[in-house]
Amino acid sequence: MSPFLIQQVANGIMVGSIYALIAMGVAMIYGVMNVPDFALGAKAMLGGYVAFLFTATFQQSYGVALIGSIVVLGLLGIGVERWIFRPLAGAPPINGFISSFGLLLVFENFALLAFGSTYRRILSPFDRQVVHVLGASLTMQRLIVVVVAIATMVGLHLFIRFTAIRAVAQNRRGALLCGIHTERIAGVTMALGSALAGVAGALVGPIAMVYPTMGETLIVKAFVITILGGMGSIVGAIVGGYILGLIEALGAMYVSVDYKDAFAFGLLVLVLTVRPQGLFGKAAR
Amino acid sequence: MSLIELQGVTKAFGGLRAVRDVTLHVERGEIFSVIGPNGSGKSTLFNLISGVMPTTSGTVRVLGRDTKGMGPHKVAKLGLSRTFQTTQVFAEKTVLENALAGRHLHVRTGLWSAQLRTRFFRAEEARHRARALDILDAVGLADRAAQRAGHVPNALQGRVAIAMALASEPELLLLDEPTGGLMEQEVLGLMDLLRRIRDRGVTIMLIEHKMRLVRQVSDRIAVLNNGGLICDGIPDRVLNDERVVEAYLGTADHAAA
Amino acid sequence: MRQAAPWIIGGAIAVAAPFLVTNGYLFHLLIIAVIWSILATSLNLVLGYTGLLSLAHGAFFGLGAYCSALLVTKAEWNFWATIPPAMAVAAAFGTLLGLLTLRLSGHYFAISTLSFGIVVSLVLEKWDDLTEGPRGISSIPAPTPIDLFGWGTLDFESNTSKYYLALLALALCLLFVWRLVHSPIGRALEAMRQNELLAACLGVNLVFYKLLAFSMSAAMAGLAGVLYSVYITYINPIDAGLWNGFYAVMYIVIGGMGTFLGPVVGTLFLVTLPELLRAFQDYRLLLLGILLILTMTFLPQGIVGGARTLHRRWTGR
Repeated sequence: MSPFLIQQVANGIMVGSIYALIAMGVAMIYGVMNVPDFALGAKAMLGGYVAFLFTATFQQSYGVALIGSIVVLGLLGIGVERWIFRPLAGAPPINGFISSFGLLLVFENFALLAFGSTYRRILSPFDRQVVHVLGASLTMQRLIVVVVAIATMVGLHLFIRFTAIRAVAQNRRGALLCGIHTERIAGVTMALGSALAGVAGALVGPIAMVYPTMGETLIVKAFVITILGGMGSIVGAIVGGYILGLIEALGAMYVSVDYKDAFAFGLLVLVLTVRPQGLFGKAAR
Repeated sequence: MSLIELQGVTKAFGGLRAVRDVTLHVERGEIFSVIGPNGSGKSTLFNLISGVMPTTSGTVRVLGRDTKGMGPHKVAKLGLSRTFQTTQVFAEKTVLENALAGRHLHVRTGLWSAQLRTRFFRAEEARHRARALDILDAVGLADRAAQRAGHVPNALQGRVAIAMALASEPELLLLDEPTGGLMEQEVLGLMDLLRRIRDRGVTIMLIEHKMRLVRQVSDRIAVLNNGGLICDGIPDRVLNDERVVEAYLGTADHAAA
Repeated sequence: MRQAAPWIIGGAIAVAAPFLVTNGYLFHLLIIAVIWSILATSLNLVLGYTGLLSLAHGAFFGLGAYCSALLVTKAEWNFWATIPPAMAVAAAFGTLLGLLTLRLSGHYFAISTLSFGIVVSLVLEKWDDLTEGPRGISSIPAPTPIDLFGWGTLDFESNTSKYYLALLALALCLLFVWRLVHSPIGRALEAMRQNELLAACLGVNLVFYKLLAFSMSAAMAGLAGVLYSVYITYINPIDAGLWNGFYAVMYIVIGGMGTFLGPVVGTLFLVTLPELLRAFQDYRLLLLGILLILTMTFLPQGIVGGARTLHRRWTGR
């Protein structure tokens, strides 16, 4: 096992974690609110900038920056649900999709105006520490990304297990009739999804740097993943995220670096021709 | 040749068998009613015949052709039209436009004659319009031709759907509970319409709950219960058959019939 | 019911525009707007009339542009001869996309078209040998002059001539769409959009019509790309990317989905507006985003759709 291969696999797992986090956000929000949130990648970008502000401007530690990005994006999510998506509750889903696209434009250009287009570096103490795994050397930051991502997934799983979110996702009206506050659940879901994106941005920031359009490829891939995994399926999002991360890393190594981004889409076309509902999706497409 | 021939038709959804081993036939020129308690598989049967769903096993022959693997548009092309239990119309379009939509199978013009507005195209469009208006007249909607279908009173929306179905000049018309939501007076009107349609040469297959209508209008009746066919034949025999009575025990409709 | 007067007036203004618009930059924007109106109109065929959200139209636009530009610059074809193959290539890809996305609907469909668009623009960028890669194709000559046999030659060097060319193309495309919509094929497409099951039971072959709508729409988008390439005289992979397609969606939505003039109105409005509000140049996209959200929330039928509803309420129909 060449150390280079280990490096690539580790990279794949790291990138996969980021993809998985955002895809989870997309899946959750779609599952509960039936809207594909096209702005989630931009929220990740905002999370990255929040972390940047915490470390660079407010001189806080990286840990605080992570928490900060979760909180700020969570609040943003609540606001977005309340003012942007709730008024659209009765309209055809395409309206929500287009609104979320409008949000993407707003977030991206706000960031551009506020922070400029220069790539920003988030300083993390873990960036300088190096870890040796099976002969390859990886920065601690990459390990942290995976650890935090998995911790988040576990936490989310427990949260969903013990709350009414699942009921609302399966049958909104039924949940309403049972006295569950669907609107509050929608707000919470949006907050959680946005927080997931925010922390993803803060995690990947030290590695890939932060810039206004960084959310674009992220959200497209997240969508591809949720379709592969079945829209609304969180397990599918996680599995899909890691599969994609690994395919990209290994594909870049063995096939071509140039077309790295195309693997996601080739995979998508392949899967959808055979199984239109995705790997874990329900048959109703 | 029977217009519809079902041989051992079964439809299973997972473990649930909505239609169980049904064998029946519908002959040309008759009004054939399918009755049965709620959930007995009647609408599913219609879906199987019209190609909306594939059968799990058994054969469906429509107008002599085995419809295995055919989607709804292919079955429609054979000469079968249908309506739905929850009336489906194009609410945003006018009643006339709805009827015109039903002319699709008789369209003989293509993309280029439409673009060039050839004489043939214009003549064909006029022909379709005339036929559509004819049909609206026949179902009693001629005065509402320019009204948006969504604004038509509920009681008449079913007629819009029937007009759409008739516009394709089918040999076979499947009507799923056409009296849904209709008052007594309106039911009489519908019975009359059904007879007139039959007299024009269209064979009708009907799902119905209102026994009065079924008894008066049907040439033959089939009774479903729990997905299986329990009896079929002429109304007098079927409606007095003890199995049928038992299946319907307690139903207000039957008591009134 | 269809008054001729507004059309004649509108047409007259459009024809007189080069003489009415004195600001050179504004005129440039007008030409761009006309070209993008063609793209928006093409997308409206699938989005507005057939109900399918395609995010791949930027790719069809780019394919048309590249095809024409390559034939003219590398194979030295007569510009006019490149139009049919460019549209055919775009149509072929449109049909391919339709085939790939046949059984999909809703969000699955939209994301698949997005992926398709990305792959196309990626290939256009990476296939250096054919497409010159990220450098793009530059110095695209103006359309080949037409010999008018005794009446001189018609050349297309000036912006005004290019404007009229684009305007003519737009007029032809609008005529095509109008005649399509008011024909049995148009009725079938609309039936598909409103109620697929009902349409199928009326005999509409959903697969066939979906593919037809896609190929026609892609061909038209390709035409827009061809015009773009000769006007700007330079194209690169970004022009074949997703953003043109996204903008087209936005213009249609704000102009009015599924209306006849919505795409044109939306494009004209949104392309020229920023110039008129010169001070807000930097905020252009930000405001566009806000406008999108406001439109979806308060006026989902768009400008034309909203005007139509107002008109209806006024005349009491």
